[in-house]
This record gives sequence, C-alpha cells and structure tokens, in this order.
Amino acid sequence: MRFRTRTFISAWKALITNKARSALTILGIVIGIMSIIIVMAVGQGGQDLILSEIESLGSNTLRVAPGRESQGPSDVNQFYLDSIGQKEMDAILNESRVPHVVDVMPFVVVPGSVSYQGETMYPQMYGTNHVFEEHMDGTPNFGIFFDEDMVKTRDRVAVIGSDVEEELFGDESGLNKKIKIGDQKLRVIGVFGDKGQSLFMNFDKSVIVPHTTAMQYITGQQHFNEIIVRAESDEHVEQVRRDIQLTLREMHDIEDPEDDDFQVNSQEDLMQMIGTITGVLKAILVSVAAISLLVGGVGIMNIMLVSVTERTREIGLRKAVGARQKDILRQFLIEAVMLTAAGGAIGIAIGTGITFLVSVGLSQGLNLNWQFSFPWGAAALGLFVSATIGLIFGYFPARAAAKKHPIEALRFE
Amino acid sequence: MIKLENITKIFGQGDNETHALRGVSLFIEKGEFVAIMGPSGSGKSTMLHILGLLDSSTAGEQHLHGELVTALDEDAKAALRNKNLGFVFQSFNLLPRTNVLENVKLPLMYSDIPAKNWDTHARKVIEQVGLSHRIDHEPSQLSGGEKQRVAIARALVLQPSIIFADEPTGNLDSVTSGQIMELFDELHQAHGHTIILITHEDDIAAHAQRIIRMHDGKIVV
Repeated sequence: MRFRTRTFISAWKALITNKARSALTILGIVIGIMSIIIVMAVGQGGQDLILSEIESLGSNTLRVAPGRESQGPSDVNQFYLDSIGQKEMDAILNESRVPHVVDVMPFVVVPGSVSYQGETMYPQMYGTNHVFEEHMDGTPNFGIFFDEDMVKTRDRVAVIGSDVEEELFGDESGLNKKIKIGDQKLRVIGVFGDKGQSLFMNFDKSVIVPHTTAMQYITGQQHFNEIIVRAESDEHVEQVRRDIQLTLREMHDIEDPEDDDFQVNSQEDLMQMIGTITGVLKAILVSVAAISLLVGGVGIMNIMLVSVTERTREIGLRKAVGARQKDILRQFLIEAVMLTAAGGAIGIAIGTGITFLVSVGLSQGLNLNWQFSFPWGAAALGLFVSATIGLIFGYFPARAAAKKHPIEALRFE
Repeated sequence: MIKLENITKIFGQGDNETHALRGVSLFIEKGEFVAIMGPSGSGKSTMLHILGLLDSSTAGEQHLHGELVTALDEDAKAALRNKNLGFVFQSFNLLPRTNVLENVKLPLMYSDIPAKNWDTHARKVIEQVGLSHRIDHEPSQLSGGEKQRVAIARALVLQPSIIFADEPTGNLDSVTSGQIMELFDELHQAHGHTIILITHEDDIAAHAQRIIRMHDGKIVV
C-alpha cells in the first residue's frame, strides 16, 4: 500500500476536529503503555541496583553455603544445614588444599533480641570475623571494629548500627556500654554511622559480633550459615571454586557431585540467578500491563466503529468526489494508528516521568543507589506495540467504512 | 456525451423486488442543461445516481464520453467521478468543523494534482461562486445559500465536464433559490458546463433547456 502525505494530513485533520473524543479514545492505550514503561524501567532499575550491589562485593568472591543446590521449586534444599563449620573453613584457608585464597568471612545468623536497661529491640544480628571491616566497608564511625585477636579470644564485644544505638541509648553514645544478647553481656566497641540499606543488610539496624563469640556463648551452634571466600583475582575464581568443592567432598566422603552437602556460588552465578528471577517478574508484570493494552485496543475499535457510523455521510461524500475503497480504508487505518501512536507517545512520556520520580524517591528517601535511565528499549517497544494495536483494532472499522455504498452513505441520517 | 440504452434498475430480491427504472434510454449532449422532473418514487433520483456513476444498473448499456462504463469496477468509476463529474446535493453535505477552503479542496485529495497547487485551484472556484470573503468560515457560520455555493465550488474544483445537482434548492427559500439558479445559468452559459438537475419545481426546471419527465421508472416525455 502506498501512503501519501495527503492521507496523513487528512487523517490528522479529522483527529483534531474531534479533540475530546480522540483524547478519551487513547486513554486506555496511554495507561497501558505507561504501565509497561514503568514496569520495565523500574524493573530494570531494580535489577541494575541488585547487580551493582553484587558487583560491589567483588567479582572475585565466592559464597560457600551448607545444603544442596535447589533442584526445583518443590525441592527442599536446606538439607545438611550444619555441613560447613570451623573445620571446613580452616581447610579452605589451607594453602596446600585451596591456593589463591586471600581471606574468608564466615557468617552466623544470631536470632533474638538485644537489650540495654529495659530497652529491647530485634535488630539483624550476625556473627562474623575481622575481614568484614575491609570487605563489607564496615569501618565504624565511632570506636573500632573487632580485630583478628578479638575473634580468636572470643571477646564479648559488638559493633552496632546507628538506629540500634538510638533505640537503646537515646541521645547518649552507646560506646563502651554493655548490651545484652540472650543472657550474654557484650561491650559496644563501635558504632556505624548512617549507611542505610545495602543488598545484603541494613547497617543501621544491625549488630555485628565475632562469630566465635556468637557460636560459643549465644547460639551454641558449630556451623556457619555461609562463608564468603575471596580469591586473589577474577581469573582464580573458577580454580578456587573447584578446589573448595574437591576439598569439601574429600572431607565429607562424597563421591558423586550430586550428593554434595554444600554449594559454592560465584558472583556470576548469583547475578545469573537474580537476572532470571527479575526477568520472570518483569515478564509477569508486563503481561498484566499488556491486558490493559488489549482493553485499550478494544476501546479504540469501539470508538472507531462509532466514528465510522457517525461519519457515514462524510464517507459517502468522499466516495462521490472520487475516493476509492482503499483511500477510505487508508484514511481510517491511519487515523487509528495515529491515535494509538500518539497514545503510546503520551504513555511513554508519563511513564518515564513517573519512573523518574520513583527513582528520585528511592534514591533520596530510602538512600538507595538507584540510577534513573531513559528506558529506550521499552519506549521503542511501547511505540511499536501501540501503533500495531491501532493497525489491528482499526482495521475492522476501517474496512466497514471502505465497504459503504456511496448512495446509502449519502442518504444516511 | 452521455448515452443510456435500455437501462433497468431493480432493488431487492424476490418478493421485495422494486423496479426503479424500467428500460430507460437517453442521450445528453455536451453543454446541455437538462432538468429531470417527476413525482417521488418515479425513479428520477435512481437515474441521477446511475448517470453520475454512483450506482450501477441491473441491465442495459451506459456510455460516458463514448466509453462503455457499464462494466467498470468501483475504483474505475471513482476515478471517472473524480475527473469528470461534479455533485451538488440538496443537503449540501459539507464536512462539519472544516472551513470553506478545506471543504472545497476535498476532491483534490483524490486527484493527481500535486498538493502545492490545491490552494490556487480551490481559491479560484471559491471566487467564482462569490465566497472569497467567507473562505475561513466553517459551515455552521454560513447561511443555506452560502453552504450551497460552497458545495457548487467543491463540485467545480476539478473542472468536471458534467455537474449533477440533486434538488439543489430543496432546502432554500425562493430568493436564495433564484440566486443559486443564476449561478447554474452562468456555469452553463459562460463556462459551458453540462448540467443535469433534479427538481420537482417548475420554476427551477424552467432554467433548463430540456425537461425530462419521469413516471413509474420510465421517461414519459
């Protein structure tokens, strides 16, 4: 089909002569495209945030956790929860078994509350070692972090977040005061400044203690919830992973890797997994938004049919003065596509605006490192989809218009 | 110029069959001013529609400018209408919320004339019907006589050889009707347009050179 400029001009004129109706017609498309833009852009922002958090840990790190890797959604992957302990950590640190390891950072989750003179709260509490300070950027603003010796000697010390300090001590400093975790009293040796939420933890609402102290005096457990292993460089990650797997299998008498009672994940694994999860989430949300586009399309068809009926005499006249069937078909098709494409463009503009506000809100309000970027892909897709909707849902009304008999159309009252 | 040979037109099928035209033959010369008269239901409108290639006959042969047009498809007829025929209707049929200039330009959209020349063509015929001072007005701001002048300008814009007018004064008072008929007289005499007009008023038909009277689907005089 050949489209001439005059057909576009004519369609444009018809649309602006009915401004109010044109605006109402495209509302469905505007909302649909807007939702898709928001979902895709916010989804992308979230994914980028998570991935950048993971990358900030360093791509040379590996996560060793007890339990098998999940084989599917119904798989209980939390078997062998106690398979990684001090013995395993020492083996990973043994250079003859696993070379190219810089350091390791064990994590123990400490359940329960922390209290001081009648004030009680339930922060996130972890036991870990001195590596945390460097690796997690965990230097306290006041006081110090515990060192290797304090970990070895199971000192009863704790480093707390700013919210925890405020909650327990009010306006006073918490430094050198004794807080109670379980039935143990621990001395506060450091306080983090306002750091906010990172992917793995909220510093402000957390309490960090030496893992040895936590295991010996508080939880009584002999295993770690996970160990973060740092390799010398990116190139060593795979070798370190293999050596850890071989070492642990040997220690646990495992012959078939299927029977592993632990898992070793690189950051790349994690990123892939998160990419998959956010991808699925995005797809679900986009398909929900697509339903509103479908409804918008039906709305377009409805209004176009009304418009065709209302303009029956105009169609008759156009035919009388020489319009062929395809001229009429083109005119109404172009009107529909122009309408939906305009709706798409408006939807993209509003959606981008809202996305921008959301990203400002998230980065200012929640102190997240949330980056706004114009969703080019989603915008192109939105424009394409909305124009296609015009083409599909505009075709039936346009054909109805083109098929009208000139005499009957002219006589229409 | 126009030749009808034994044209019949049947609407509906079976028991609902209506014979609108029952074997009409007719020849209209170039430059003629013809009035078709007859009571309602006599087939005069059907005849105008067939003459104007807006409708097709059930049987018979029709020639326009010596060319057999009976078997032409819709698109070919549309092209012929665009190039050779102009229409003026009783109810004006102007596009609402669209100014005089744009209304008159409508047939140009479907012609081969490049868009840059449209304005010149349209302004010329608007001047011819004496509406240059109303060029930016929309139909709702015009009187009945002015609306019909716009419709005539629209019919003239591609300089067709034949102008069809279906009761062009049917919605106008007698003074305005007289003015519109003067315009048709001028088009006929000064510009040599062939005019075929339907009316049931004798004083309107009196402007024509020839009157064709119809009754029950046949030409009676």
